[in-house]
Amino acid sequence: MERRLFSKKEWPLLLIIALAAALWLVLSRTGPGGTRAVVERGGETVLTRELGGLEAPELVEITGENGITFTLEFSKEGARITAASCPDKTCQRTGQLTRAGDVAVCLPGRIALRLEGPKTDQAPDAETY
Amino acid sequence: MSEKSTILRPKGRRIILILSGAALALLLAGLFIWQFVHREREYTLDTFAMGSYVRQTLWGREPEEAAAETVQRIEELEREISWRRDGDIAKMNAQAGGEPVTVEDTGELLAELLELSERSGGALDITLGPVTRLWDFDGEPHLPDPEELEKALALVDYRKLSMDSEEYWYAVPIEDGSHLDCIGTKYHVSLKEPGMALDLGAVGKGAACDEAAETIYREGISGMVASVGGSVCLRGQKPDGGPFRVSVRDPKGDPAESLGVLELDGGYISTSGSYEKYFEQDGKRYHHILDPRTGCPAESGLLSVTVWCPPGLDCKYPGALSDGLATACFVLGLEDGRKLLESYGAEGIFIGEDGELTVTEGLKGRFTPREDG
Repeated sequence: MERRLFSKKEWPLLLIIALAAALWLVLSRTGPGGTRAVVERGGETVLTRELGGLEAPELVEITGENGITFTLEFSKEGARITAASCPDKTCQRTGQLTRAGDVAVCLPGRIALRLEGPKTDQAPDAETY
Repeated sequence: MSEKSTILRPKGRRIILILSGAALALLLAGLFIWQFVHREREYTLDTFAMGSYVRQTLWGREPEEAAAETVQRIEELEREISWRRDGDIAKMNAQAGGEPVTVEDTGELLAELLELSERSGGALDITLGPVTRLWDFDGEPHLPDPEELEKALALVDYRKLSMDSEEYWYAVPIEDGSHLDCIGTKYHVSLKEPGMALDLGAVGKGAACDEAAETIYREGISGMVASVGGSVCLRGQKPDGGPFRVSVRDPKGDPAESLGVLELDGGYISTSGSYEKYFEQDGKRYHHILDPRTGCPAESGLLSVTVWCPPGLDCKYPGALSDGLATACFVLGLEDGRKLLESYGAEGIFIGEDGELTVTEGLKGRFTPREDG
């Protein structure tokens, strides 16, 4: 006589357990995907743009701290600060950000523009300058 | 009764099996939630502190709280060591020529920096305050009046910083209700002449890295990278066990361009370069790295110096040391800079104004120049 460990009624329970295990595995390994530009003011994110979905370059104006104004350009090629009303223009001189991890910072305006994307083994963890 | 009957086990056994299955499902669900909340994960926090952009990436359990505490510690450090605030350094400057100021942690940092000032022959001088204020690189940079510069320069001399120390015992309560006797050191610090002023701007970002590095001692944190401006600290391990990768900015190229990548297993990295902060007047460029011996921007034939203090160096503030060494080496130039690094067991990358790249022995094999560079 054939002996079965589980009856037909018990299989759904096993299925739920298997699904829960699969969900656990997936959630444990999920990371951020897609390259996007992130704008932070004083460390708080105020704007994000998925660059891959942009059909044409997009210009956005924002105001940082101390009344400093910025014009940002987002495109498929990357993101950059095209104009800033601060005296030193360090962020503007940074030029086009093209790789995940690149960042342009305005200290007087406490604005940071950076690119995020899928991490690769080749991506640097930090930059010294 | 047919042999094909589906009831193959006693009813009681089936109930036990179903209950066991339900218990297992509950256990798995609990485990799932616990894993999700307490799993090792990567967390990045960006803030502004020490007049710089600060980025922390932590790996481990519950990294949010650890990163937030680090920001708080860096802000406290800034209060103590910035001459613009109201902490230890500001008090010492305010009391220059008068009574000493008694401090603890700031005194330890000053003691290490005094040694660096001495060993670099004054190429790094933490009493450069009167001169840096005249140039005002962090405000409205301008060429100072030559007479004013001469007067200010006369007030710059690290040997006129007096430091006496005394040890004392203090009790630290422990969990079982008793206490641990510990020994601490107090420093009595004074600037000998009125008008003298300390300025730790050349080491502030590195010192902030030292504060950030303490995060690794928190339970559950397995690795971290903290960048304070261009100073970087690397502690613990990355989840994949691979080396940390630090990009070195190309001083001759676009600021977003990399000269190459350092692969390191830890330590502290700082860079001093003439390209980062400067102004132009009457067709001449003036950068912010001042030579304490002339009071003017250093002219040593270098564009930038990157210094790596590897793990295990015998000092309490390796981050501040890497920052101070980068400045001192920039002022000293290639040959004397290399000797200074050797004396500390540190390594470096020197980039000359002619574009020549010099990598010290300990970084060969760890530095990969950009392929098209």
